[in-house]
Amino acid sequence: MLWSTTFVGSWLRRRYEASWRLIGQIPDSAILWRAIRPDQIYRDGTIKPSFFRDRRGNYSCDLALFSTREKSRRGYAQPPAWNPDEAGLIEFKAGDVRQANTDVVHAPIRNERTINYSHAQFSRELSGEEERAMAAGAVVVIPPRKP
Amino acid sequence: MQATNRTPDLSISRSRLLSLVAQGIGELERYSRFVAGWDGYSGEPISPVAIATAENLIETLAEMKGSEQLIDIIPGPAPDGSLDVELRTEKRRLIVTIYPGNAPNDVEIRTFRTDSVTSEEKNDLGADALVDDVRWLLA
Repeated sequence: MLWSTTFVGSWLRRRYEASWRLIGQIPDSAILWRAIRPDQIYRDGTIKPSFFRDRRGNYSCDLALFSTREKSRRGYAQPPAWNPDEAGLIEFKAGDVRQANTDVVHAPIRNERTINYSHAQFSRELSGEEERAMAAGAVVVIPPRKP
Repeated sequence: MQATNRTPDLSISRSRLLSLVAQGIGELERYSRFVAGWDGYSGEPISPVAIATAENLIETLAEMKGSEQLIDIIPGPAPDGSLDVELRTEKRRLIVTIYPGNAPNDVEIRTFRTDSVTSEEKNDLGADALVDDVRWLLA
């Protein structure tokens, strides 16, 4: 029910967020968003593989049903460490992450600069091949703007 | 008028190459200004040693035999502070990934090379292996 787009689903999500409750299992169909800068995209509008690289593990993204396009595009950090007016938005699914042999888990952030209940992260870093596959499969829903 | 032993075609190729080099280095210079959180999350600033290595690679490449074949030099930043330098000719593509190394002023290199027939990825390359990959690209 939590992932349903009905009234009950949205009501449940509000309850979860209000109590800062950790979400146990993210379904394959769950949509994930991540902001993108102009430097992370090729001239033809496709995504550079380095966009999906994070050796530290914990690659960040947002659970779309718990965020808004505008919040995820501009980022949750206040003040932002970049120019959010340039940012675009990338979309992929939890199932895509699992096809890349990793997992995505809910990891809400609450600190002095960032409050982001929708935050999720990959369980491990991707290999080069997995980065390229994710970059090829992800969708640019809002293109970044050149400064 | 000064005499030159270059044909006009070669001069055009050379000036196009120098323009690609300038664009690539310009993009790397932008990366050097990224601060923590540059990606809207917890992105690390791009490693200065990775940027210096990438600049050096691009400048060296421009002097190599066959470098006029390059049609694109595309840097790409990663949230972990590493970066890519992607090099393209009409037939071949080489992505050089530069991570900051464990020791200060050291880097770790990974490459991915592909053409219409083969693809190959190599990890933790030495300088000789990187030069081999660049020669493959420009062959």
